Amino acid sequence: MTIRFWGVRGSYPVPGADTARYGGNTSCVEVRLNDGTHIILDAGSGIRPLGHALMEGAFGQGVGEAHLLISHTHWDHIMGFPFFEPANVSGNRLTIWGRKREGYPLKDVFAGQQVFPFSNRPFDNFKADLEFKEILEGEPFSVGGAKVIAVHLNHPFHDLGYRIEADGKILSYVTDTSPYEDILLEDEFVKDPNDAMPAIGTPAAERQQACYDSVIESLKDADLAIYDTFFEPEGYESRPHWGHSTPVHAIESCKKAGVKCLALFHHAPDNTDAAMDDVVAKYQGEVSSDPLEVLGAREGEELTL
Amino acid sequence: MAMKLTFWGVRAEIPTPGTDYVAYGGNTCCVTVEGDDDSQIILDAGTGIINLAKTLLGGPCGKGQGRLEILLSHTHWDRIQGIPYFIPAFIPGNQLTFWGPHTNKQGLYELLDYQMHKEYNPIFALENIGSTIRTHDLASHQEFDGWRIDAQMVPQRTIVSVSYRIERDGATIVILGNVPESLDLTPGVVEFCRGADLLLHDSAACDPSEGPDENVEGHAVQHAITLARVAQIPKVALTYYRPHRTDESLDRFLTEATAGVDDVEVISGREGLKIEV
Repeated sequence: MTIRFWGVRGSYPVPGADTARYGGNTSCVEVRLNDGTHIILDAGSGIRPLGHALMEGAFGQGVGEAHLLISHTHWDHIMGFPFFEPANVSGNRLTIWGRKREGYPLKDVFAGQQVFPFSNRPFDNFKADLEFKEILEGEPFSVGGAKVIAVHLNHPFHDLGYRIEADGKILSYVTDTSPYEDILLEDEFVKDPNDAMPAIGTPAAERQQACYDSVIESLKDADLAIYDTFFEPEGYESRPHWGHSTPVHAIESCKKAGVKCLALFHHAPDNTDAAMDDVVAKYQGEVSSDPLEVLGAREGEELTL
Repeated sequence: MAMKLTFWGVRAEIPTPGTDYVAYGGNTCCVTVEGDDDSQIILDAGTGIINLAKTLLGGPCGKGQGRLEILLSHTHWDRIQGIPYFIPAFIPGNQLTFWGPHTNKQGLYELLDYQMHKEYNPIFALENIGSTIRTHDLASHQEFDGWRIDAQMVPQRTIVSVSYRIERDGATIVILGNVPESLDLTPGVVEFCRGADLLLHDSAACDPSEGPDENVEGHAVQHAITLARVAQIPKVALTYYRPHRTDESLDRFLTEATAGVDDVEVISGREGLKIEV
């Protein structure tokens, strides 16, 4: 299983020299299996350069096939899709997986990004074969030679993480998520974080714990966990309702689950390359006597599990 | 100096991070126009507006006393996608007034709200953003705080775009929000631009059917220069570069397109550039 990062930034793309090393494109991770199966995790702005690279091969000939697994449809995770060149080529086949949400068909949400007067790239102009599949957490499905199970993540209006088992390896993609410590984020807008903090002993608190347990299960023995570490602890304290975690939470979860390598991911826009170097060094230091390895995901980086 | 133009984002369609785009910049559309007294108008709200915010937070905008006027050429994502991340919009007490076009079915507020819907954005709706958002459907003439602004709807290939003529203290700039189909100069556009001190002109129309190698930029620059000559405008500033245009490619295009032109000053817009008018 080979993984390549095409976008590692959270919230919005950050052009400029100060972020060029870790990269300014938003979430997009490419996974290639030994049997040739192509999986793409999220369609942030990073999917545009990925698309150009794919056009050099089968996708440029109209015989390409890929599965796009969407964590959620916030802009930074879908904004690159209108510019995904392989979708313009007849014969290519793309299956897009995402969470089923009542009243919000996944295809309509995607197409809604490409309507007048917001876009001059109508969704119906795509020539490739696009199929949308909606799933819920806990429902296993197959993607080529991979077994995939989605997991509920703690983010406004639903988010899925994905556990991918293939080629004797396990990849766990956990973004975007708040830790399941203080707050439980679901369908309603949370203006004041105190409003969404389940009191001990309530059904909401039990659900919160159950969700956390399922995240640990999703991470269990993973060779690589790609985890939302947007915040440093001080940042999280005042904004638990934003739906993001810290490296502290990620490391704790990964150690509990026996993960081998944690890639810090979904970097905050203001984190320059120098700042990211400091963050990565700090947390590598914290796990130096643990079996867990920590790295900071960087655009262009390729890992073979 | 009556006015100063500052470029915060010059990229079309989608932001382009990466070292090949650093010189011109990868943030999408945003330009500010300032008067002598620091009075400011913001033109378009692509991701370039996010960096602009950093310069505003030290002033009234940081204290919930900000009053911002934002003129939109149209509502393609590259003109509005910075709004959900524009910090002054989140500070209660600030007042943001958006001027721009609407469609037959949707007013400007509804168009700006779309971007905030729960499936796309964690704030769920524009009304949750914190500051006071006002929208003004476009009027052909506006005056406030020493600014005189004329607006004209200019039909383009994929959308109706608004062109603005902005005057302050005797200086005038015209913003042409997209390029027309052909090199023909529409008489209405010529009159709208006549006698301005500076013409800010897009370098692309961003019609997806245009191939990456087509000389769209050359065509646009030619149009800008011709228009400037006919309308007697001494200075042209270019912006709105297609996403695949690297710094090197833009250097080449812009040099070729302006070779031999000595009667009109042509300036290539780039992030951080300031032009005095």
